[in-house]
Amino acid sequence: MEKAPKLRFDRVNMVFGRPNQPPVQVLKSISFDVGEGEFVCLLGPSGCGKSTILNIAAGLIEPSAGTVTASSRIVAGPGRDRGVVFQEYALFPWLTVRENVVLGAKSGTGKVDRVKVDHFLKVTGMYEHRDKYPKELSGGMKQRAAIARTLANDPEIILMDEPFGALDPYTREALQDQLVEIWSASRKTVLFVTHSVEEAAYLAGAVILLKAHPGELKAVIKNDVAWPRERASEELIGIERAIRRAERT
Amino acid sequence: MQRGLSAELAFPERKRLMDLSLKNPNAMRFYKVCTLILFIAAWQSIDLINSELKFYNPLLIPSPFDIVKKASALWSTGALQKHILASVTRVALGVLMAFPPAVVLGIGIARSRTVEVIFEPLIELIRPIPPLAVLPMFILWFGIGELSKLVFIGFAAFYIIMTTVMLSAANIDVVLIRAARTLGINGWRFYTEIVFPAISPDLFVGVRLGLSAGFVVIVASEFIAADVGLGYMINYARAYFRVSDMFVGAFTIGIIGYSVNMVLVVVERRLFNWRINDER
Ligand SMILES: Nc1ncnc2c1ncn2[C@@H]1O[C@H](COP(=O)(O)OP(=O)(O)O)[C@@H](O)[C@H]1O
Ligand SMILES: [Mg+2]
Repeated sequence: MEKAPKLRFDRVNMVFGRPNQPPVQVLKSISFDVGEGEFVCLLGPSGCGKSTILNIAAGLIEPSAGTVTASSRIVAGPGRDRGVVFQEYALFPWLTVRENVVLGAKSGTGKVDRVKVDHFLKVTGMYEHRDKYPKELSGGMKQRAAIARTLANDPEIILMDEPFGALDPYTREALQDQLVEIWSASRKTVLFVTHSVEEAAYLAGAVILLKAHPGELKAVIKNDVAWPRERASEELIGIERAIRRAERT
Repeated sequence: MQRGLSAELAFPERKRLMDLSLKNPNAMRFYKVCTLILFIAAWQSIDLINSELKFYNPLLIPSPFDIVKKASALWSTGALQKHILASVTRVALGVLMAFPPAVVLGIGIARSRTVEVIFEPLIELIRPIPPLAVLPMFILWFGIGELSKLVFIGFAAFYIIMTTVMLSAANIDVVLIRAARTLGINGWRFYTEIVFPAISPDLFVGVRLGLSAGFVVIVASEFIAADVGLGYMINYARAYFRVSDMFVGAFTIGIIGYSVNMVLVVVERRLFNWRINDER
């Protein structure tokens, strides 16, 4: 018997109605599976509907048709089983880094596990900056704090929307490596949106390639290169080449 | 405290002993005090010239010196303090009364369609009515005692605070709301831990504006029915043609309003340091 996937999109359509304009179909029959513990990248040009897919998976918007299943339950709204890391960091500016993470660590009863909070602050390297306010942080630090907050919420699936898109290449690579470390230690399921071929090839176990207008699945490229991976290695360049070849067809 | 980069920090040798230009905020503050003193001095000298030339009736416009003299006389008998206390208490209580419904309705209308559909039409219909137009009704309903004045001030402050809260709550960054929802922050927690802190800087501004409005309208209500308060003091002085008393009353309101605002601005900077930006 085959194991049920952690996250499943089943023929999901998304049509946005607009005032005084014809509706636009943004997603057309999107189907894919993400297995438990897998790291999957959604790759596609800007405007192809990547954020829309992620927001549907998060339960923030409802698809026009089709179903999304997470941990064998139909997604009907946001839930703590699915954590989201936004490109805009989305830290609460009135809280310090630590307080932001505490908010993530609060269980339904409002209890906070301080050990857990400190653990995730340390894992993301934000422990020494724990008492700073978001406005005092660089972009990379903000995103590390946001990742710590999401991890402290202990989701089964982590949805990331171009989390490193606004960062400089050095910070971006450092955070990629940190994320891989966290992922391989926790074995959480990750759906990671990016428009960078290199990023997808480096991080993903599988790359889901999308095309735009309307957003449709174009190809799925497996990436079985073993960890630890080396950037710009022959194998990863091979994966990049495969992605680019699939993009052209 | 964080400090913006400045030429003085980068090149200390450039720093002159005293920067008297208008770019120096301390010099600027000093100049502002000077111009104020200059205006008062000009007024005093016009009064002096007038005492010789008599080109206007000095009884109608007392000199600054007369006003200060009158103020200290009123202070020494304790009358001025009594009026100040009465008016300030009314404004504070009135705004306090307006606060809970203004916050609840402001947030409610901005974030819940149900609350919006029930309350918004009525609130928007009443909004354009000047508070003074309903004061006579308030006096009929609530008597000429304290309650009618408190309701009147509350009415004026309510619209200001509610509008600020409503705009603020409607404009909370959508990504913060999404983050809260995906973190499982729902129901009551969503309002107390996300919405309230997010709007708190604007709410504070709303309260500040509400207090100013309170000081603007308090006088009117004290004209009509009161036996104590700065408005009463001014109106009473009119009956006896004590123009200096009227000036003392008016300037006292000005000074109180200005001081309250200044204190609140300082508190605001302290309290909401997390959002203050040094760039402008
Ligand atoms: N709420 C909305 N209403 C109308 N159109 C939308 C809405 N959200 C997104 N779109 C459109 O859907 C398309 C895909 O958007 P998005 O998912 O943000 O793309 P991506 O994240 O891949 O850049 C874009 O053309 C965008 O203009
Ligand atoms: Mg996007």
